[in-house]
Amino acid sequence: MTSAVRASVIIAGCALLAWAWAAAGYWLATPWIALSGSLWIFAGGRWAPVGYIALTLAALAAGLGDYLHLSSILLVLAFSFALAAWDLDHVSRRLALAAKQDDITGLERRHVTKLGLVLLAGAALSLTAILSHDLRLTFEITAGLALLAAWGLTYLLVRLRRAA
Amino acid sequence: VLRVFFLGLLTSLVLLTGLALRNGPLVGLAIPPAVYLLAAWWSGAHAPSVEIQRSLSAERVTPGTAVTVTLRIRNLGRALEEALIEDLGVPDVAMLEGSPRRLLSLAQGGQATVSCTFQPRRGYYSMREVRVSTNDAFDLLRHTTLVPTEGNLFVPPLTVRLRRIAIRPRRTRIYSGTIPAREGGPGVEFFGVRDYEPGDSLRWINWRLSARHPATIYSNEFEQERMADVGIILDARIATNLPGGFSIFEYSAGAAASLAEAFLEAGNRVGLLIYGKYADWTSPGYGKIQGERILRAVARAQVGETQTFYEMIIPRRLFPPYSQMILISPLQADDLPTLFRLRAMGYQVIVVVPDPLRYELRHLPDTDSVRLAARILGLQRRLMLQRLQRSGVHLIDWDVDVPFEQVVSAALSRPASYLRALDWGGIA
Repeated sequence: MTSAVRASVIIAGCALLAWAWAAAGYWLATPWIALSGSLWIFAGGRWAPVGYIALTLAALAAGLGDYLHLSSILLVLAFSFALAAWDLDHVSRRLALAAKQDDITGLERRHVTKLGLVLLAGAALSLTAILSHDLRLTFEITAGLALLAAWGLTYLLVRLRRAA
Repeated sequence: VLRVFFLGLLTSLVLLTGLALRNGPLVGLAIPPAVYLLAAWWSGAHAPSVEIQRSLSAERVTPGTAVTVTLRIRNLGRALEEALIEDLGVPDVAMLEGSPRRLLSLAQGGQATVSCTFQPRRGYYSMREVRVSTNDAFDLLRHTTLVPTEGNLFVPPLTVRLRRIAIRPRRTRIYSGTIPAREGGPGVEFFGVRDYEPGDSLRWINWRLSARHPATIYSNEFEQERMADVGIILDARIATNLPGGFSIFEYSAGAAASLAEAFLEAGNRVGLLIYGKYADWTSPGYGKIQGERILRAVARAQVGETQTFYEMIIPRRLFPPYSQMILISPLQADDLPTLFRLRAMGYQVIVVVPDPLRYELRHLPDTDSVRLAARILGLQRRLMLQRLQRSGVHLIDWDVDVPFEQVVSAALSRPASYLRALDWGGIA
């Protein structure tokens, strides 16, 4: 399960990143992103440094994209997927320590759920911040959104802590 | 630690770059990893509070027998989402069933069982610790605890039962035993003739000799049989025990244990020196407890880095001069001076030499070059052993394909009279 989710998030992250760059006319970046994604899929599970290098490259690509005023939504989502893939790289290696009798599927399912919730909250916060900056929201709406985000985050953390 | 450091650094760099460039979307890019870090920190890695009990299907087995180790774990603290349980006492061998390492979820007060079945090699395994690792929700921070447990697994080397071993040291102890003492007195074997003394049994009178000398009566004298000091030296050097990367040491260890058992059963005082990475002494002693001590020492023995016997010092307190010494070693040419020195000090030396050449040949392809190399090395070895034999060392060349009891039976079970004849001939 983990490897399938990991491959999916890498593909999704690369696709979003390539889309962001291609949409701004930087077509040349697309094959490089695809190549990096393929390498990450095939080598990441076996060799730990690949995940670290790939996440650094994803941060660089997203950061540079932000500097060049590419679509922030695509870049944030792409970086969030890259972060998820980096986490799942480690999870797949850690699960290799488990014995056959262990509830590996249960552990995987719980971890993917937690990861999904946290990154969803992170991406939502990030997008809210970016959109509020772009939309030039009034102070009242911004404060309200910030409070809502803080409440959501606190609720999430409390749930996570209880689950742990 | 590496993961949290890496992600923290990456997040900080993105955030600082965004602030430096006054780029809002770039600052926003740092939010997802920041939330991820915050969630990991919030969930926390708690020190596990668990109670672990270990049980073994057997505590003493022969090498190759299957043993099952079971850990019963009870969580006394808060619920553990992912707890990695690692039994550090289980030897590093292929598992027949189960695993000594499990990744478990343990509810508060929950229980779990971890078991594994394996075939241990020779050794003494002290199973005293189980490592329990817990982590935060994303394994950025980890907490590891060593939980003390009890359990020992003793796997002595395979021994064979040896029948009477006829040795003839120059000095024996005062207690009666089975070793010819080179002194007249009560015994079984004829030793000599002396003048009749009041109190001598009439059966002891040598009538034939007394008839030839009418003025005197002569009595037969018998050789006393006593206990002896036997020192066994087990060579555990890498240089001699790993021909071609295959260990012949298991055979040597089994031979040492078998000889010690046989000598102790005959009532002798036996000591052991295992000469490998360091010198591991087992002081001389008698009886079953000493046998157990020696078995444990041999079970623990591992090959080590020492190169030659040259630096070996034998304390006289442990191996008294003129006593019997038995060296079990595949031998190197450099070792001969040490053996000559031992002979010069008065020890009666027997060397059991497991043949490393034939042993290594079993693992090599049968080609012309291998056969030629084996022939050259065989000749060198034969010359070395002849030199050793000429110095008065009793040599037992052992092809490890032949059972040890058969080799010992042929070389060391001769009757005392035969050995004495050899002694008179000045050969051994």
